[in-house]
Amino acid sequence: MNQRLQHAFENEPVPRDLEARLRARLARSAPGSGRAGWRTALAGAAVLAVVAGLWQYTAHKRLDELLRVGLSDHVHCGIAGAYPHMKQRLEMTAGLGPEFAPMLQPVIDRAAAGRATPDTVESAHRCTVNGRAYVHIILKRGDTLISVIVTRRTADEAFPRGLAARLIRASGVELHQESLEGYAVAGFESGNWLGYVVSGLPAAENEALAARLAPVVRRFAL
Amino acid sequence: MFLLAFLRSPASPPTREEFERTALPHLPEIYRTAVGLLGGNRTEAEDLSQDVFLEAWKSFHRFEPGTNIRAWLHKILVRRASRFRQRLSRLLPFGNKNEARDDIPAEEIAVEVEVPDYLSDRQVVQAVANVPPPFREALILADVRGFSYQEIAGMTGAPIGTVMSRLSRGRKLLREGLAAVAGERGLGGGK
Repeated sequence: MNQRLQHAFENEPVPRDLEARLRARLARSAPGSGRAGWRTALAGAAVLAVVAGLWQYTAHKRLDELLRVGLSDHVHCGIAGAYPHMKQRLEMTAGLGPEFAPMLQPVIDRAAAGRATPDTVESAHRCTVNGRAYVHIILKRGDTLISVIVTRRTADEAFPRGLAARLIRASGVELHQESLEGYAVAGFESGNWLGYVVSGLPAAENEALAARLAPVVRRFAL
Repeated sequence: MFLLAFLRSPASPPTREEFERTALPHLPEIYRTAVGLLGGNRTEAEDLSQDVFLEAWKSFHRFEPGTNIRAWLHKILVRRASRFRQRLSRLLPFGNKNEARDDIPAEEIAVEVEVPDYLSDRQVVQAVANVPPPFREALILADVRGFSYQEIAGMTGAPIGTVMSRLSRGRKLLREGLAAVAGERGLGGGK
């Protein structure tokens, strides 16, 4: 160190108010925020991720529960073979009751649309599974049973909004589908009712069928 | 709970009082160094030295108590002064060709400058300020502030060899500058 140079610099006058001005600027300035800043941002992102994760989990759980309402009828009534096997159309319309009898033919027609071999109708009836009442039409495509199900929905039964759902453009119906216990289960809301198309068909085929049938069901389940 | 603990650590953020107590005693030194680094521009040196402390305050949480805050403040100052000079040089029509002369072998480092007693402190400071950067930077940090080559290398981001080379060049240029001042006063030739 050069003493003479150092001495010259030490005698350089410092503006009298420099420290006061700096203190004023420091007082106005935000405190050392680097670490707190990124910590807060990271914590915020973590909270958001947790909230989003919880929402997704809850929404999927809710969707799963609602789809199982339809699956339950398909399995316990259709697959278990407990349904009334019917041959006569009159028998079927009587089984559906006056409210849903007119729905039978449109359902058959829409299911058969574009198919060389139309689905056969195995049964159309009302049934109760686990204390819940269903309107149930059973079709058969080859060896595969297809259930078209309608059940009255309670006030708290609604498909979760925002979860990926296929919107049927022509009718505006939001269709939700998942594979549960080896079955493709498609569900949708229809006024005060919940509608389902459940089958052992490949998921895409079941979804396409549900997309055709949902607007029909909506005309009758208000 | 983990999140709260995460947010709370470290135990407590540094307070402004703590920062002022630790850093502000170095304000005069930082200002005077800034005057030298900015070529004697005292107005800019006032702003620059304040900016140094504001930046230091914003990143004070990174400063480890007990380490050399003086060197840390100087490092911020050197970086900011360099940026200031770069901005300024873009505004000037011609660059200073001396700035490119970083080619002196380390073993030829010039000995410290003997400053004539008859020169005033202000003349000496101005003579240092007239040495072109980055030689001036090395000169001030080594011969005025007493930092080691290694510390200066850390502050400037230049290799130690370059620091030594710049210091040597700076000393030679200062010697020439002081001789010129003395010559103007008619007090003798340069040493």
